[in-house]
Amino acid sequence: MSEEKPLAPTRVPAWTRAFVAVFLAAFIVCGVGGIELWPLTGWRLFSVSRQRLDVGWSAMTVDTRGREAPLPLGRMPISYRGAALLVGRFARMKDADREALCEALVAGANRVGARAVSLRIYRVEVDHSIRSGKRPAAPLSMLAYQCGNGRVVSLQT
Amino acid sequence: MRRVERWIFSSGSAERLAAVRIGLCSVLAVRLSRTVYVHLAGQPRALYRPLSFMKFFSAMPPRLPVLIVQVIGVAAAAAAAFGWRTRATLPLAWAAGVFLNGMTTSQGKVVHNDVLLLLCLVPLLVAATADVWSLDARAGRTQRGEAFRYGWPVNTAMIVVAGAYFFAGFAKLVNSGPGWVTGGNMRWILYAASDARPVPNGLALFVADRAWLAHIVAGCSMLMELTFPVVLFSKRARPLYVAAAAVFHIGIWLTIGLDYWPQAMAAGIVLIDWTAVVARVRLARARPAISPG
Repeated sequence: MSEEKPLAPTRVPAWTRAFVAVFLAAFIVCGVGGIELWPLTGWRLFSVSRQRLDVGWSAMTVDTRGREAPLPLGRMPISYRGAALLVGRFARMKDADREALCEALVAGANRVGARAVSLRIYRVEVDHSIRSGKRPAAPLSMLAYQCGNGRVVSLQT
Repeated sequence: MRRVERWIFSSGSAERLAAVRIGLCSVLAVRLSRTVYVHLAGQPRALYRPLSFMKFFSAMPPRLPVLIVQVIGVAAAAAAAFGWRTRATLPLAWAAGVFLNGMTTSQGKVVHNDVLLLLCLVPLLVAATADVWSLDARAGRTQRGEAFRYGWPVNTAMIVVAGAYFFAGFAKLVNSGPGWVTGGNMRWILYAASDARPVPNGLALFVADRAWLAHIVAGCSMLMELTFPVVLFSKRARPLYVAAAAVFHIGIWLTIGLDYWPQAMAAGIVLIDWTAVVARVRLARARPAISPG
């Protein structure tokens, strides 16, 4: 605040001052408190430390013969971009939401050429510190859910 | 507090405010012309995860209304950049920007890419941004006023830029503490980013494979973020921080694949006094002509 120029404080209208005060107060409160009132935000980008052991979720399509293939998210429309995140929240969803998500992903995969009838969701543990060349050493995958035809089966122990 | 208030409402230059308007509105016009919004409009309802005001909608808005908002938004942002009917076109462009980017942030994750741009435009919504360098001024609809009208919008936007970076660093300190820098955090971020891609990312792996380098990158990132408010006190520091932010965002794009160019551009447009830069360039060009010999 070093470059103060000639001031005319009384000439800036009171409503302008109030507008600036309210806007900056909201901006600062959200920033300090980590509050999300988008587009006001808590700026929590990458703020939580990542750990060596990463637990993620992976979805596979299953065809009529029971063969698995990765959910082709790369080929699916942009509107499916958030699917990978949502699959990770499967455990916290209500049954109806899980079924709806599962149906939407199966339909989306089939629209780009997959012949899926159901979906399998795996819990994947990756230890980033153990490398095999440019990739992590084999991740540990455990089948957690199978869903399709309006049914969700939890296989978690 | 009184000092802060005096600084915010200090007088400024109409040209500098106009330069900020032109820059921010141009970036907004480019951002709003992306096809992502129309593609999102076809999203199945089960994938919709609204945030903030988007909770008023039960699903992503339909394609036709989105396309109409997008066309109006791009046209309004371009018109505001040219300074045509700016009192109406700038708020219209901003509203379209908030609505359309509200869609991108309703997929299960807070999207920050355009947030700084939108927040920097807030003070301009009610400011006299088109008194010079505008079609409004050419047509006689606006005219240059007194200097107190032009300082506060730019100063408020500068606080927003400084705050955005500072709060990002602050959140890291609050949520992770010094461990964000001293632990393996940066290595695991980079490994995870590379491992999620079909082809490994060489630059991300180069840093992640060297713990000392990952600590330096993490330390420099946090240092830049936490000290960013220096730009409010030191005019000389501004180009340095703008350059550091550009390097920071290019680094993130190259390693993690996150495209934050609108944020870097917003920081540069607001913090650099482009009218002074242009004047300096003109002076430098004129100098040889008047030098003796």
